[in-house]
Amino acid sequence: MIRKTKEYFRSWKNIDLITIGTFAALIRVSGYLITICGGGLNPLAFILKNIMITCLLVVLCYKVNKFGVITLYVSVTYLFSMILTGSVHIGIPTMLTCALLADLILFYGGKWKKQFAVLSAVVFYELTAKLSGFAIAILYSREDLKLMVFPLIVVSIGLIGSVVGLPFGILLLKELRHAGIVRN
Amino acid sequence: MPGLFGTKFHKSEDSVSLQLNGWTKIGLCALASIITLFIKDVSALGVLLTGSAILAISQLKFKVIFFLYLIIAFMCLFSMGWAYLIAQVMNSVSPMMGKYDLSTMMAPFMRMIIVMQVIVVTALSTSPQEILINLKSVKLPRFLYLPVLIMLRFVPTFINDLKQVNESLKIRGMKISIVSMFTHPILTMRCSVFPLIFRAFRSSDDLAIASELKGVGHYHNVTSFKTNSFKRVDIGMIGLTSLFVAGSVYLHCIAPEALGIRERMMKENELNKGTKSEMQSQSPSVKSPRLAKGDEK
Repeated sequence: MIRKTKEYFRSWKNIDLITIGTFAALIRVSGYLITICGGGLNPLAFILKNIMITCLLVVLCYKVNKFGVITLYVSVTYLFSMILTGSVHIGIPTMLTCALLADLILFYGGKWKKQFAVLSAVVFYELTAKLSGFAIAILYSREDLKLMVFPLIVVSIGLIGSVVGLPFGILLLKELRHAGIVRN
Repeated sequence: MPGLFGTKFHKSEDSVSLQLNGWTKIGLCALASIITLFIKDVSALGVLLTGSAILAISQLKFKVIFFLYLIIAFMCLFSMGWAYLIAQVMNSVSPMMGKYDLSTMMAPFMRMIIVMQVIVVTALSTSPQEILINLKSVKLPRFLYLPVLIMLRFVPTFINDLKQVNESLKIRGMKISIVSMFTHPILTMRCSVFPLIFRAFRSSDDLAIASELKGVGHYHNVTSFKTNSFKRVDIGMIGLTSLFVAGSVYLHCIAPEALGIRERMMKENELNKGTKSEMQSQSPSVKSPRLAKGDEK
């Protein structure tokens, strides 16, 4: 079992890891840029940010065809924010669980050969990650649930953005296939 | 973050932040974000803000610092505007939720500025190689430290790519904005986002080749020419930081009690509660004649 696990981790090539890192940075920086340009609490910026995230996640799943892509992406993103911003995330275990479940959906739903499996895995991850974040927020302000109205609006706007991002992801994938960058 | 390229350090080699160890800088970031979570008092946050500002100015990159302050001011003003709008909307639903007070927004923005100042110092003065050495020293597996390193290294490349794409769009006479994303979504995506992703793939290929050439993917111990050791500057920085932290903790916890501010606040609260209860006790007596009339009926 340990040998198999070691072999699995060694099977990750440099190019795969670098692509994950590049996409994580791309998602992070574009998210920040959209937030700065949109001016913080802007619903349009929320939608746009989520469109970008979903779109890039779809491409990442196709580019790196290995089990555990989403989990590695999530762990790298949180490690980055922990190192650079020093933030301690209480939601890391739940997010990692969501990512692992999304990876399982991707793996058992037909891997990268079926578009439906990729899209459902990405949507599942986005949905569960946002809901778990919302659940943690409820946990923090359980004394006064009225305060949760605004986060609920934000989460639902984000979910709309995530769903809208799927067709854009497919469009981007077509362009990348046409350019010969993605070959699956 | 031009400092991440590791080539433009010669401009401010005398700065303290360049001489600091990577872990000291990362520790400063962690400390700044954790301590700002707990401290609510504005004066205590002011002490931390002063400390972080001194650290940021010691970077000797005044243009970058000025640009950072400009961004923060823009973000603060925009967020305040949005919060005011949302408060107005919420006020129509329930007056309890629609409260808007500028003084309560001071503390969150101060927290943000403190953390951003420390992060900028870390980002501008830490080379990717230094971070690689630090991450290796804690024996993180390759599948974790390599993507994190790439994330740090890719940020300046991505900003350069953004500039190039923007220039090429200008040459073609196209104007892309957030509004055009919703009016012409497909065109905007094809013209701005897709080229960026193409360039990202190209740079990831280049970085993969570079990492292979540096022997990152091989399972032998690669020796580094830079050492990861604590110096006198690090000890001095830790001492200074602990002084500022102690000052802010004193202002947050001990000073209000010593100066009697907390007691005064408690008394004021009690007085307020007392007046409220008096008002409540008076209100039934006012209504009693009406009730009496009702009883008579």
